[in-house]
Amino acid sequence: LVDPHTQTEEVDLTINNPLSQAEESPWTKFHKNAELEREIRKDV
Amino acid sequence: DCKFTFATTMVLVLVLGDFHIPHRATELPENFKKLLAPGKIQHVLSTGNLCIKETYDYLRTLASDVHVVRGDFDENQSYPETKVVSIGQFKIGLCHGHQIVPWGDTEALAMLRRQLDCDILVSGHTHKFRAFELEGGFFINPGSATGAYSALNSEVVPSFVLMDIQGPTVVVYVYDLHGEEVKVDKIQYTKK
Repeated sequence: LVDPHTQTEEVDLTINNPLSQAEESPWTKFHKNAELEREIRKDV
Repeated sequence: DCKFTFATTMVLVLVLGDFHIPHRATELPENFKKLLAPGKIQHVLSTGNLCIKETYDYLRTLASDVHVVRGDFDENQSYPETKVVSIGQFKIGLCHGHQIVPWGDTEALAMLRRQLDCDILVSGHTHKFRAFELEGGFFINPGSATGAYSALNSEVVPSFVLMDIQGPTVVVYVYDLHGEEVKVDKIQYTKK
């Protein structure tokens, strides 16, 4: 579980923003998990 | 049994407008399009001047919930002049802004926010990003997403806004394009 709101160590806004596609962005991890969750819901 | 549960419900709202496609711009800048990947955004609010249906169709690929108000150059006459959308704890008013005289005037915007009885007033038309808090309300102008020129402004920096709504707080991310580089800024507003 990744909540980007609590991942505060990354302060560079070009990386730490909801549309960032950078691997190290907490938002990238969040969106990947959200996508995975949607897939799982479809399969259940 | 499903072990994947989410503690957070993400509410991301894209706010953008004044595209002026195809008259003053051919399309959304490529570096903005790259950022706007489908599946991330829940709502789109547009200040208008799309000006053609293709721009609306593009916005619908980003989120299923799309709200548009009518700009002075919109072909589609069915877009309303103003609209109030409730998202989470926020009432968000939307108006293109050519009706607000003088254009972009703080007092006139404050009056419209009171009339629409909303927490956040989103307006455009000036093609210049602006965000400020006044009388407990919050005001956002996302600028022009394509950097189209305006009557007031010939040197326009393309910009749009993304709101991350968390309870009574909204974190506003501002994206603007300088050459090929997208710069990101962040502003926070909490409802009183």
